[in-house]
Amino acid sequence: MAQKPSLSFFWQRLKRGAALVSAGGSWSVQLPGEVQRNLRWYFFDGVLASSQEAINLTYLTLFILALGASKAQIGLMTSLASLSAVVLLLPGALLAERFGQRKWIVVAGGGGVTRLAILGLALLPFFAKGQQAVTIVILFKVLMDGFSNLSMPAWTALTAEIIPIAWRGRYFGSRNMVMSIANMLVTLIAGQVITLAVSPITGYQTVYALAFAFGIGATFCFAHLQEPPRQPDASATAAYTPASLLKALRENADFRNFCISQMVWNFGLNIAGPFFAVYQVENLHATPAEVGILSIISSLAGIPAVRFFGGLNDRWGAYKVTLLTGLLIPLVPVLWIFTRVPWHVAPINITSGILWAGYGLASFNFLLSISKAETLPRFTALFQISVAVATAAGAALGGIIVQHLGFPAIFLTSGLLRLVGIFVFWRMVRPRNPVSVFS
Amino acid sequence: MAQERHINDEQVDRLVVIILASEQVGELSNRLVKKGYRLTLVNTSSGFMQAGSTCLLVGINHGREDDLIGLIGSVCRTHRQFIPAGGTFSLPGGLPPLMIEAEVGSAYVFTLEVEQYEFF
Repeated sequence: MAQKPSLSFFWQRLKRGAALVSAGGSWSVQLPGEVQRNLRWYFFDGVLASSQEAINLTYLTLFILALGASKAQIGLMTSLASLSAVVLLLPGALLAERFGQRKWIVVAGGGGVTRLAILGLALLPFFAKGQQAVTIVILFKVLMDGFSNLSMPAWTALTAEIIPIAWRGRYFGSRNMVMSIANMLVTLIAGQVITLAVSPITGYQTVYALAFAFGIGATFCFAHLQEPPRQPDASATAAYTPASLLKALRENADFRNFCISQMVWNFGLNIAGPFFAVYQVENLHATPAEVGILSIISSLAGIPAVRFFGGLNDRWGAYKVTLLTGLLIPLVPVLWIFTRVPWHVAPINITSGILWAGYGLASFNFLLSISKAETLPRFTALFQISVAVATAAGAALGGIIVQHLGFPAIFLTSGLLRLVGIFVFWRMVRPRNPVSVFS
Repeated sequence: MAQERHINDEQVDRLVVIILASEQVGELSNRLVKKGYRLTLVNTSSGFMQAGSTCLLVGINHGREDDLIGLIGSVCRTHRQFIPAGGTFSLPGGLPPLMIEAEVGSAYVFTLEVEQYEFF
């Protein structure tokens, strides 16, 4: 008679399955044990960090609003956070190249200061109220975005070192999928927690405490990565010096024009960007749970759209896909003017999720198509700086407009400026063939 | 019709097993069929829910082996491209998504001797 499988048999199978999934898949068994261990720690770091960010990205605006922030202050928060990212870009690159241990830059910066700021947000209502609390939240947000950006070059370089290039496609495919699922689940649960809490502030404190727990778990996992030994290299930072960046702008007209178009685009985008959640709560009377669900709808719509636009990008080229999606996206903020109840946002967010998936993919590929391998670090740095400056200016202006003229004014202005941005792209930037710079 | 008969009459003495990324199967199988190869497609899974791979079985006469290998090589070149890296941190809104360079597009090809081949 066949014996029934024991509980320990199922447990062993579960453990084996989890070990394989967290290393990216069954293909990973052919990699050395040390590489597999790194892949697992990195996988759990990503999933936990994604869970933390689900709370922080979706609910921070609503939290500061509940603390009594004005719309201008919300704009100011986004604006200052973007500026801090620009200011810390060069120091981040210098640190990554000149400091031997990249892991500890990430653990101390994005994994340390950023996550302590999240703990600070969870504890803040115990110590501060009203305008004092609002100012501290803005300060924390600036610290979080600034230190995340400071750690980013070290994070990117370390990622490239620990994940073998031939396996990155499969590994990130698996990791990104689990991260997306975790992100959506946590967004949903956190929204319910805030909505059902005895008071909104208690709800936000609870979910931020949870975010801190996820974040510190992510830092713990990241700290366990075994970093390969390397020699600091100061020469690589030459790409980021102001002289080198200006030279890149002077020498490539297409890139310069692309940056100008993206500056106008992002300026327009951020006039309304920070205020959609505020509008949902104040004008549509949506609960935090509904805001979370509507944000998930947008993310879900983007998943199949990435595959669709990936194929379209290969056939049409990045220029045409950028143009097509860029011409439709300006309609999205205008549609918000006609919303009256929370569910009206659902079809808009589905449309927005689909279009943004295409635009994000195509515009990045277009940036690659006008770059060469040796100019890519400079072009990416310049692109980030121009986008962050435009974001800062747009969010600050959006805060002022919404305070004085109301939501329809920012939605309309944002749509028109996005249209101007894509018009500049169409008239000033030449199309390129769909080629990969590294092929 | 004449080409189909020619394929069926062909003395198959090699079995070529090709393992490649699912995204490339469409292009490769179209080109194989256009050039008169007969193939069997076996879906396999790899990675978690996303990066699938596919196994193609192609029976050929050894005289067409070089042509087939050349065709596979032209479609399934290893090349580098940027893929979303799903970062550990979030950056201010509007900044491009974190991307990382990855090698994609490779194929594994195994050629086996066929002891006997029948077509019914």
